[in-house]
Amino acid sequence: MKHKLYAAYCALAILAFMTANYRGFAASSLFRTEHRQQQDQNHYHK
Amino acid sequence: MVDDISHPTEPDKAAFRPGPVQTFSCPNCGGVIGIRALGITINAVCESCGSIVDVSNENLRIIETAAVKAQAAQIPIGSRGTLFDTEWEVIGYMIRSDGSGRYLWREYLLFNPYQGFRFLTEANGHWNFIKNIRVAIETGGSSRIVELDERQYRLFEQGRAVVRYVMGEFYWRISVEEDTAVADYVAAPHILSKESSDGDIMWSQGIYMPHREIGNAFKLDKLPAPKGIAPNQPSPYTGKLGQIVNVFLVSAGLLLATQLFFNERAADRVVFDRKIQAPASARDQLLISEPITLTGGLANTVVMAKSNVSNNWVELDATLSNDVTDASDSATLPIEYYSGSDSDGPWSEGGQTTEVAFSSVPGGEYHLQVEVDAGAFAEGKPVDLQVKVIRDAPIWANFWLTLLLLLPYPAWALIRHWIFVLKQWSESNTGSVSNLTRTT
Repeated sequence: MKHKLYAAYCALAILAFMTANYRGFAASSLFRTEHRQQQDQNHYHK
Repeated sequence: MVDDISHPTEPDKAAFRPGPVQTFSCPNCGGVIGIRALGITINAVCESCGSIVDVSNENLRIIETAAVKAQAAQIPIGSRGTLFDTEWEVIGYMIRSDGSGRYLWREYLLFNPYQGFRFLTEANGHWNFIKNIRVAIETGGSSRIVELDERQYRLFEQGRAVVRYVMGEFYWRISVEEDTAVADYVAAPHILSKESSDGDIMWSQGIYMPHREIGNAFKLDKLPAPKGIAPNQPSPYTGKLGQIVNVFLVSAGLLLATQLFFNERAADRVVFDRKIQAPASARDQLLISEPITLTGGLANTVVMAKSNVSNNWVELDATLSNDVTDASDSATLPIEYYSGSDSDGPWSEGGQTTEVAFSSVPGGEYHLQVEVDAGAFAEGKPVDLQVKVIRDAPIWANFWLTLLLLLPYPAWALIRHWIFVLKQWSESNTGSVSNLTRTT
């Protein structure tokens, strides 16, 4: 039973992976450093 | 293998009818001694006085008088139960212990007129179904491994086995305090035991039996639950682990195939590529690119920077701005490269290239704004830079992140399995810690 739940979890993870790739998401962007956050915010709220 | 143990010859699934029980009078107390395996049984124990009587001839000689008081067996003598499609009758029962007498286990002699004899052993609520085998197994040298039927068994424990109590009948000459050298080799759920006495070696082969199966077979409701872990008890996680690992491998394969598909269809187009020399006066000044056209819908966009710094650093703050919507995204691209040599030889760290990916950037007209700072600026020196913008690049970060999300459950299952095996082998008295790495 547990391995079936795990299989469902894997299927969801792969589906999320496909969607992310299709929409141009880059996971590395989650971990990048931004030293000038204040300036970035200014950009977004221009 | 189970079939090998239970059916050495052509299986006879017919249950045998209750046969006549031949009775004798105990020469010691006059009590009744019943013999179920007539013609095969050599020694029988008087249920009344506990004397061991030689019933192989008409003289009924007393071999041993009882030294200990009667002890009840969990499966009473005369009980019948079906195991491996054969009905067995319990005809003998004995309690044995290790040399110290602290560790006790119980052995039941089973009989079926068509199949012969088998044993059920029980220790701490763990049961094994055992058959004596007539094979020559090589155990020479320092090897802790023996092989039988293409299965490797590892030495788990060795010591003495002393008979402490007997009841019922036996097809060999039995004696309380009889002492034999024993060695148990395991390949869960199988066990191979060697008993040596007076130069004779007897091998037996067994399989672990869940206590509920024994209870069901002999219709016993209250068999105690097992305590601890038996030497040949199969890990309860082995089957689940296999299924989980299979699911993981299939998922990882599917994930890789999907990644390769996306790599193949990625445009991977360089939309901006400039080499510039930033003078020291450029510190904190905004360098703005010419317009960059990003085509298509949502796609990642990678900004790559390269500088041939040596024992120095450069840092770029890059902002990609949409000319129409003013939406922008920023990131820092640090470049640092140091090298030298010391007593350990030449060394280097860092690199001269770095890149950053912007997620889900819509198509449109953009400008790249870059602010540069560098270690060389403090010395008034310029730095050479190359900046590239790549649209819809193949990116592996999503693949690794997803793979990381798939890993914890198989890893947890593997850890639980290993904890079980470590606990199991911590009971081994052969000091074979090295066996642990070879057990699973």
